[in-house]
Amino acid sequence: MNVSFVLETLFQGFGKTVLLFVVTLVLALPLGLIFAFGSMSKFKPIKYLVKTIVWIIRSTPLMLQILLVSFVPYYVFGTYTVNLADALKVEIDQLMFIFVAIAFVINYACYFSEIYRGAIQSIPRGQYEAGKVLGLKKGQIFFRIVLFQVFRKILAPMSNEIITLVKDTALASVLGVVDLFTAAQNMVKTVISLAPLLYAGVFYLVFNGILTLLFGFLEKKMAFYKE
Amino acid sequence: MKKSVLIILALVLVIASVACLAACNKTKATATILNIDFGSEEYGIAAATGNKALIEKINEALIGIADDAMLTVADKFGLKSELLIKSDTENPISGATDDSWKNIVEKGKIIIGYTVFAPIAYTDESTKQFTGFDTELAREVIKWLNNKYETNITIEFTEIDWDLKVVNINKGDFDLIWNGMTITDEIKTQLTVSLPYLNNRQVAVVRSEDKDKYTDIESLKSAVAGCEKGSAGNDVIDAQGIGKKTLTFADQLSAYNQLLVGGVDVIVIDSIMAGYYIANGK
Repeated sequence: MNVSFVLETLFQGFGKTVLLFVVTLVLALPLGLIFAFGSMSKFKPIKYLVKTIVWIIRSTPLMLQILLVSFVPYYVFGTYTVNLADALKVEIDQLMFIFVAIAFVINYACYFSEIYRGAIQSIPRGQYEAGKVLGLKKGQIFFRIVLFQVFRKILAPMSNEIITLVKDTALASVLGVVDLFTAAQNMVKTVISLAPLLYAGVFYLVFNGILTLLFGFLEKKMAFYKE
Repeated sequence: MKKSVLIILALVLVIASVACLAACNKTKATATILNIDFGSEEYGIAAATGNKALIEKINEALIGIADDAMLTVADKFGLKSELLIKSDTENPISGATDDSWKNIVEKGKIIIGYTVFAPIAYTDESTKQFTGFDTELAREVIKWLNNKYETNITIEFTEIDWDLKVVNINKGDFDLIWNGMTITDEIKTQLTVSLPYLNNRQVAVVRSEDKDKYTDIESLKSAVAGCEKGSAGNDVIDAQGIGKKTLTFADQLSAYNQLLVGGVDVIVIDSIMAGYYIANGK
């Protein structure tokens, strides 16, 4: 078995995995906050619309959602995906990656929104009232008093979701995107050995290990703030 | 509470019907098989390395039912013209002395690894029965062996991970890979393979509206190609240099569905499946 060849292929897949991870995180974290506000909105139609979206997305498999996104151009707009790629001036595999990323961002935003909502609603009402008495505006109360506490409360559940996200990237293969796990599976067939899967396991372990350390560090940083 | 449930239900219905209208109103693209010859290949049944006695018996049974049950089964799935074994075909293995056959007889059970794909191994939608060409053929072969050797072997079909089939059969997870497996030189060095029993071609399939655009291999080089990951079609695409880009999918049907929605321009898949998808696609 040519180890350097296997590792090189795995690193290419790892690149896709990290890219999908970063894109999902950067877009889903703020989108999740918007969803969280939506699901707590006093305006009923928005509240129920967002709650319905969150219900549908959280109740169906991510793999199905990825496939559905890839079928949207044809079934909704009547455009072949290859033509869409030409029109957008991207390669077809890049467009497939974008489809996967869209599904991931929406899916994770829904999970994140529930984490945000739980944290925001756990802040005692008294703090809002105290803020009001002190003459702070609504936005000031949220950003100066509530948000920081929310950030501390979401750390533990977020680290769970984010570590799951790293492993979920393997689902990208349904649209032909070669992520770390798919690359490892391809290598298994090339070298007829299970070693590439074990190597991939080590990649995941190290990457998630770094994330775990990062979350541990953040939690320590926040620890000075006790309730 | 009641009101909110009602509103949610109403919204779901609205979204579902909009999605359905958008999806159902469209006539689905149809696909056409191109008339380009990529050569053909043969399907075989495989046992773990060294299990020659088992494959010897399987070969014997395949030859034994060649003029009889095999024709009936092939006819049922429209594959009669693709059969390769005749009643006078010679068994390439004889007098194998390993324990593989003896072990099966003692266990009274043979475990056959398959993956779901029509028309080879699938559950029929009207009868709800597990069927398919390979499934029925396996039943006939074991029936014939039970008769001849007065054994009492039952079949257990087990779904396997196709990517890991070689590793897993060699560690004894199941006894046979019987699932439209293309015989390659690589497979022959890794496993013990039976007589080739079914002929299969790799064919290029395009959307019907594109059939005049792609007429030869040269024209396919500028298209976006698709195939099942690691399949024989994948090898054809690599060897012929088809496609400016190649996307690989988990199975041939996923590749076919992406062809219909334009994710790829051409797919290279098994003729047996291409014919089945085009005839049965809704």
